[in-house]
Amino acid sequence: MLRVEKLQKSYGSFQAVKEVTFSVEPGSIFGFVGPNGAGKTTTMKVISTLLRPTAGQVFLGEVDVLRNPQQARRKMGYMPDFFGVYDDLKVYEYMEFYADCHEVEAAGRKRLIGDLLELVNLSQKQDAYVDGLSRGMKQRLCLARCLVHDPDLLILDEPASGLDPRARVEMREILLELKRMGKTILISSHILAELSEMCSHIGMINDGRMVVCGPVQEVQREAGARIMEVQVAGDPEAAAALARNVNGVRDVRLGDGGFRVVLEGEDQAAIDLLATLVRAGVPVIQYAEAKSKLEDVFMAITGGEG
Amino acid sequence: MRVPHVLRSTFRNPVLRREARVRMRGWRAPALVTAYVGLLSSVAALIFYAFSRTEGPAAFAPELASIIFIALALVQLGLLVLAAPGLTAGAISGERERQTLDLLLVTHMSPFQVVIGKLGAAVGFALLLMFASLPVYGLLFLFGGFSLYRLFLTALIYVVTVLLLGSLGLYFSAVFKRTQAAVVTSYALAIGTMIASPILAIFVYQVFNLGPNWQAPTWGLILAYINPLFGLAAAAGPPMNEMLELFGPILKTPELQEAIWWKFCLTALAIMALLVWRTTVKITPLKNNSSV
Repeated sequence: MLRVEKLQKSYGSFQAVKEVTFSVEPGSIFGFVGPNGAGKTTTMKVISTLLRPTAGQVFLGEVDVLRNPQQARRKMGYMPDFFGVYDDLKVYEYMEFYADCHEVEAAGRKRLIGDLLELVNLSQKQDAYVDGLSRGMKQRLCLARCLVHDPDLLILDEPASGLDPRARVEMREILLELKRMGKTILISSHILAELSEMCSHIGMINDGRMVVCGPVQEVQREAGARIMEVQVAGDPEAAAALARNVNGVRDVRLGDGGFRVVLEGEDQAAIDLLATLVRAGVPVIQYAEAKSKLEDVFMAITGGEG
Repeated sequence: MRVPHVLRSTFRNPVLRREARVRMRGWRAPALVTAYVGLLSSVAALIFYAFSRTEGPAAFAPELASIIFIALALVQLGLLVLAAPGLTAGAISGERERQTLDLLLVTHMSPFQVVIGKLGAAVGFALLLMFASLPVYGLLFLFGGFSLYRLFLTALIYVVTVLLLGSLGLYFSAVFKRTQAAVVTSYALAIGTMIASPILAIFVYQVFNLGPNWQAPTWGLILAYINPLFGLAAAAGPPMNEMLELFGPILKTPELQEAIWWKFCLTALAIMALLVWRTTVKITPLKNNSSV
């Protein structure tokens, strides 16, 4: 769906983006993660045809985004990291304005806008002035605006920034619904927990460089942040002591009735750990891979710079 | 009859439609139109009152009508000069401040369409003010003293003036990030040029006048052709065109002086085209001069 190749963007002597390469599969949610100032917004602006890069290429399907920006714009919806709303318009008028700008056919437009407002839970607000909406509602309205021309790819720059927990959950539910509808989503955030539950793929950017990129679980493994949760019937401390001596075990943390083992990431380490415990006669009740937090992965990769 | 594509796409311009919708909403627009027409009517009524006190009641008074016509023409030009840059100086910078410019530029609209939409909305509102003032001129016809042709020419000068100053405001709106800077610069340049051009003309004649056979340098006219005041003076005809005597040393015949109106229109439209082009370039993302 989207291919970014060796993208570079410099402002004078400052290199904001350094040879970033990644691709986004159709129908996936790609989380673009990095600390503030890492180059996420710059990369997204280049993809959205708003910035010309210093070097590199961007393809949306077969379309060269930098050579055919008008064609690319028909296939993508961009939501920046700010509201960007006209306060003097009503919600329906706002949607109608962008439908006009995208040359959406007049026939069926009313129904389309109705459906989109329903998708983002703003049906009741279509006659309200945009100015009177809450922050979360404005964000959802911006998301509906991105969808008005039925794009294949959504580029969402920090869509949940500044939202309260409830609004974040609502936004996440909407994005998952869009994924079910077949949309491809490129979403950025500096809050990793926000992305961990919905992204199928992830790209971590730090200091303008793509540090790691791929399916979430693969990234976690590559980062060596594979965590096994072990529950035992007997003394967890003795079992934990045994686990510490297994090859490939980085760390063992005791918990309530069990312990968590941080492994190197290879399957062999997990196999060796279980074999050691069973051979020693430890009554293992549960042995399962725990989902490691993306924060751990990011900190491990960037060496705590983020 | 089929409407030409350019006209159709101009009137369907979403930016133009949005601006028109928002501008006409609420009490501000009707209040502004009322104040505008009220001011013009008051000027006409005051002159009429002063005339009738000295000359007595008049039914056919062409000299009175022509005085009122000149006064209205000057006041109307002054109001449009004050209004036009203000209508557009916040157009692009306002979009930047609201953070909606990027959102417009990633739609199917071209930057040129955005600029034309903004300019069209400003010109449209100025035209509304002009049309609203027509009944005042209509009353003047009862007294005679000026022709429909002259009225049409003055209206043309107003439209061209609004286009020129509107595109000037729009350009500075694209150049400056803050609306305030764009407004100040637009007004300074617009009003500065209007004041500077006659001063420059006088300066040229005084400094370069070297005797009875002296031929004034034609570049002294440069600012005459971009000054709406002289365009209006030529368009309105006598007695207002007497102010064109200022350019007598260069434009020696009445025909040459009369031609100022169309030369002003052509110069102003050329400058407008240049400003619209530069504004479009300013807001275009992925400019070709950037390196890839």
